[in-house]
Amino acid sequence: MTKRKTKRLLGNIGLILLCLITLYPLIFSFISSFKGTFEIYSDSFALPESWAPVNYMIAIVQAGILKYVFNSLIIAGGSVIVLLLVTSMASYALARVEFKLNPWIYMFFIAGVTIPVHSIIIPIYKAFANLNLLDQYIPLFFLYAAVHAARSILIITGNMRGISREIEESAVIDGCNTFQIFSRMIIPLAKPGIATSATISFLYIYNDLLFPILFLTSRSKQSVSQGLMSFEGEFSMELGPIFAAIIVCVIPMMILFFIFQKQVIHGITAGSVKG
Amino acid sequence: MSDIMTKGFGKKPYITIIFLLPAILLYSVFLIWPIFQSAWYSLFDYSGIADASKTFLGLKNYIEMFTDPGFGKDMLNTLKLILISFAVHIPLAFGLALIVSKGRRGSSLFKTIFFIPTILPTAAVALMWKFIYNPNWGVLSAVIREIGFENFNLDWLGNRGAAMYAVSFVNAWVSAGESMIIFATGMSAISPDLNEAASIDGATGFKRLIYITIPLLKETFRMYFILLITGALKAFNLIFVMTQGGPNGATEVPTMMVYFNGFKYYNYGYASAVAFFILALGFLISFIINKAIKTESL
Repeated sequence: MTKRKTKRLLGNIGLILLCLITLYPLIFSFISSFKGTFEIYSDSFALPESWAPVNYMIAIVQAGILKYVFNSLIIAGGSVIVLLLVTSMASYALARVEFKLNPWIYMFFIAGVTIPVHSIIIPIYKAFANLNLLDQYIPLFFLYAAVHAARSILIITGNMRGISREIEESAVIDGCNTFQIFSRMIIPLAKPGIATSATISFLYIYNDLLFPILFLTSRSKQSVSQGLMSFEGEFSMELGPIFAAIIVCVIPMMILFFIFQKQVIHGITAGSVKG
Repeated sequence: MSDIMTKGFGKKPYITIIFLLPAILLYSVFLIWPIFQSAWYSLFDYSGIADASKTFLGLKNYIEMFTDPGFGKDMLNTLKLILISFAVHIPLAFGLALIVSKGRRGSSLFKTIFFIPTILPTAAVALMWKFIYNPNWGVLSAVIREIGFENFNLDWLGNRGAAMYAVSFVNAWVSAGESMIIFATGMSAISPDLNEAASIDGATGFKRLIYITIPLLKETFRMYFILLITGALKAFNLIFVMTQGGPNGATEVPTMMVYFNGFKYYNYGYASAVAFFILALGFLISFIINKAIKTESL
């Protein structure tokens, strides 16, 4: 074989191997979710004897895994709504207005991307506890929005800067006020940035663990991460349902990812790759 | 202050303020103020229980932190995390960027596949890998046994020496897609003419890598290192679910120290000191990296 062909073949093999390692945990969980506990113990590689969704029934009906999924969706949704409202407005101001403080305000927010959440949890927890705000969703919405604000502003401002000013100029001539311009013209044009920010924050918030375990104490309000953790504790002897629960929790994110792939990939690297 | 405002905002500065205010408020209340509070708490012996007395300690918490061998171990674990991630990401990112940038068909499919680990809930990832690592029936051990290296089989998460590396690998697995995109983007900005011209001049692949590709990727490396190191300092979710810092603190990292000291041992003061240190260290390292890898604008 020519050198080029060998290289290509090796490249292909390597690529396939990497894909396998990348996807294997998911594949393994999926296959195991159809197996009985004994099957899982005995042969890790075999396909399940039957594809009956017994474990899923246990996970959903007995353990109520769907409630956790639902909760996480609400938490993520509510937080993203607050986030978008607040940051789209701020981004507009930052993208358009050019007063001297602007670059400082911009940097003020950007530095926020590197702030580790652990540095704020203790005072926040104390404050929430004192104000009786524990175990509630709404304070959490604002907390998440604040934590994600920096990245969101980065993304949306970048998007808005690219919007041509002529639109605003003609709107002003027509007598529109700023809010009208903002809501009817700018927001629709900023949809890519908004979609990116919304998708990426939704993802991170749904997948998060720290805030839920700190702030959500009642079972009925807990998130997907907590649900999975307690699941493992309760069903530690019956592995099948645990795998089923994992798959159930993962599905919403997979769906989100496949629909909004571009936004996710762009959003995760925003702030890291300038442009 | 001379304001040049575009027609969109008219000449009314208060509209600008209205637009900026919610964000600034949110940010200040939930991020800025807590940081100062944290710094304040770190100077006290404070149990966090309502109305508990605070004893002023000055910098004693910090001194205790620096002399605590557990803390040193935790920082070492963070270092292991960084090293393993780096070791996994760089060959992957480079190799893949090279393959993917050649316009191979299906490259967007591969991008999608490699990104999947990043989008999974942390608890799910932790559990999946916990099962893979199980020494009795986990896939990893099964493969090792099949190949015949029975003696090399370890309790990956239970063995104090191996645990942190096992966990670090999972961390690298999760963020591999991200790093690949960063490098792929960086590499796509390098004009292929440069490499072509160089190979015409007789430079081998290796030389081209060292003298052309890597220098032009300075910016990419800068982003990557900052993300890597600040990410490692922040690592918590995954490790917490996988091992809870065990066995016996073998996988504990500073963020867990904050969590345990704050919410298990009710030592808010000490926890705040560690938290503040993590913050300061992150800023410092970002600053140093930014200075060290200065990119000249072309």
